[in-house]
Amino acid sequence: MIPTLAVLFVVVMTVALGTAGTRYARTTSNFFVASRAVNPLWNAFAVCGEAMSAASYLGVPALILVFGVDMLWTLIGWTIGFLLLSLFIAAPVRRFGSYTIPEFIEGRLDGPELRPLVAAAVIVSSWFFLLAQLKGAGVVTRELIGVPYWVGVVAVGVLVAANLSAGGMRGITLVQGFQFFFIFLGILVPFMVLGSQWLSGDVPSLITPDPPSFLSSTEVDYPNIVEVEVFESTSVIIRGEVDGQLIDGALELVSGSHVIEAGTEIVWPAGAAVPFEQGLDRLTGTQWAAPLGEKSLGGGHPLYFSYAFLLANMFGIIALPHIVVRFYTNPTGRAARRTNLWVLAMIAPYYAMLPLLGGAGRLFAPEVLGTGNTDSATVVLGQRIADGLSGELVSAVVSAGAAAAFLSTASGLLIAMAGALSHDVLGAGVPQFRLAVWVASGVSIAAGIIVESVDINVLIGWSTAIAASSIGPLLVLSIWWTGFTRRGAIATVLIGGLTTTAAVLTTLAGLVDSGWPLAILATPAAWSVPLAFAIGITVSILDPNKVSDLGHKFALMHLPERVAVAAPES
Amino acid sequence: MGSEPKRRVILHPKTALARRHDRARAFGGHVRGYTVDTDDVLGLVRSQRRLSVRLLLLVLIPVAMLPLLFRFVPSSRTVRVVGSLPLPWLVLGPVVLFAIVLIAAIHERRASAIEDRWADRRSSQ
Repeated sequence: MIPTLAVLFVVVMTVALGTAGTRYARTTSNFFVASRAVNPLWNAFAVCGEAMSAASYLGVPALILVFGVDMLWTLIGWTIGFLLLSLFIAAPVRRFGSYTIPEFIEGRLDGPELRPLVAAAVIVSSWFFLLAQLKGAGVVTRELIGVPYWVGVVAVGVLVAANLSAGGMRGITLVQGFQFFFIFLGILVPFMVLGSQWLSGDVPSLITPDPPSFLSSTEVDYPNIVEVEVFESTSVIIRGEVDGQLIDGALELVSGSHVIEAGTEIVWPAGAAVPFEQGLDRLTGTQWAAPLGEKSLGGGHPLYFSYAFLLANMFGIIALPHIVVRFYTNPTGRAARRTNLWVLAMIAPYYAMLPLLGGAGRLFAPEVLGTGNTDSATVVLGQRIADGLSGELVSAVVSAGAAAAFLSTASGLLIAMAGALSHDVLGAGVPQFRLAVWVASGVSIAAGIIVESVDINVLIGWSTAIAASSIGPLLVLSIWWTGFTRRGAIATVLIGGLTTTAAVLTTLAGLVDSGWPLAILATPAAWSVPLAFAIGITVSILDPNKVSDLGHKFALMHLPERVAVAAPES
Repeated sequence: MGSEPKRRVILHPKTALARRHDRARAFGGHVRGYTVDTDDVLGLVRSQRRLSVRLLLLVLIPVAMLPLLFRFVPSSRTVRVVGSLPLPWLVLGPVVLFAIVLIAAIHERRASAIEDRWADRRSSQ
């Protein structure tokens, strides 16, 4: 009851603050960039609200729970990605002074044909990212109030679109800032509870030579049909359908493969070995806690996987349109850089807390390994780490944080998509922006319902890979290299975007399933980012048509604002 | 009354700064009140780029060594350090994450200093 109320509170706050922004939301500048007057610290809260998404809140603890320490490369990659934003992107992009990434690229390279192309890359990558947030919404609402998955997807899609079309960027900046506090609290509270339990020695060791088992008798809901491997014959109580038989009562589940139908409930006894979904590595505690070793990561090449993941996540962050677009709301380039430093200072401790949740999930919520629904780990864990009223409260804080995580990120993504769609395709203006918001949201809701069985971080991986190998090189080369040309940019977006999309579709179609081909296709950014850079540089060098007026354009991107204050206004 | 009082637009200083900035593009050869000298601007770009690349390498080189360390020194995968925490969890977690924040803080100071020195030289000419 209390967790549901907490989620409702976050939703009501979101609507109230979003509509409070309507008062100001009149002009185009207000709608797209909040009149470029957002305070650096508050903007950092908003960026954190966006960056702390369902991918980190739900996805990372789940990944760590399943695969162990190697998944920390995700967090390092993202953090270095934010460092790259400070080093190479934030200030120059803001100083150039456009409304969207496609507009910036067009202005910098004098290529009107680049604008729809870059807009397409922005829309596709944001779309995959948005699907991941909607999936988070579906999972969390199902876990909390037991409604079907699609209810959460539709509710969040409509809510966020309504909020955005009312208040635009100005309204959403306020909303995301508040949501950040809920997200941070949602991780901090369980971290502190678990940390104190761990320090007082109440928690059994995780690093044991055995695979995971149930600590206590556990009732598990299976929301989807799933094929599991049971490793030892176990006496369970079943209500539902297993292996095509309707069962209501006790049963000896023999070791081997079983198909559990959607809607089944099974009570597993304490001490029983946790069944695994088919295809997941059954790691012992020792294997789980040590990097590399015998794992199926990266098609059985965990060393390659470490580097590929680092690279993909690093470049993924700098190219996320919803993050980059937030720097446009800062008054100056220097303020944009300061915002990003604040972001790093808040996001590093947040990331540093997530591994403990993943480890605790393996102890207290190991059943997610066998439900085909690892993304619910954070929320289930929130319900398990304490008893009685304090348990309800912890669960409430965790659920509210999860709701804030996908709501704020979904808002940011919808802004980036609607911005690209309206400003760069339909023509800038508030009515076009509103139309674009509803179109983008509608399409995403429909697709969000379809991706129920796809892991959140698989969706995020595709999104970041596409963005990393198209928009990433484009931004870096535009800002720092005078030799970059229009044709070089077109080649970069096309080759980078298309090769990654092809890799994603091949993996999705299940055409490869092991070894090096899987390693190369499942983490495409490791080769597609360097490839996109190489193509962009080669084509630019060969291109006889250089960009004109370079001094002026580089001055716009790199000159500090102080020159304007020191020199007389002309 | 001879002349009517002149109309003035009053803006919050931050909004004024932002607007002035957006309008910068309208002045032909000027950016933010500065007459563009291409070589001069590219000099600024070069020093910022050098700073950024150096700081990035300072992070990337040690981080890129870690998988190799785990690969070729197997004991590093399981050795326990403070509070019985295995080394990889400590290094791949808090140690690297907070080191990155430190590097970003250094960059924010150095990059601003480069800009200030550049602007000072322009306004003293």
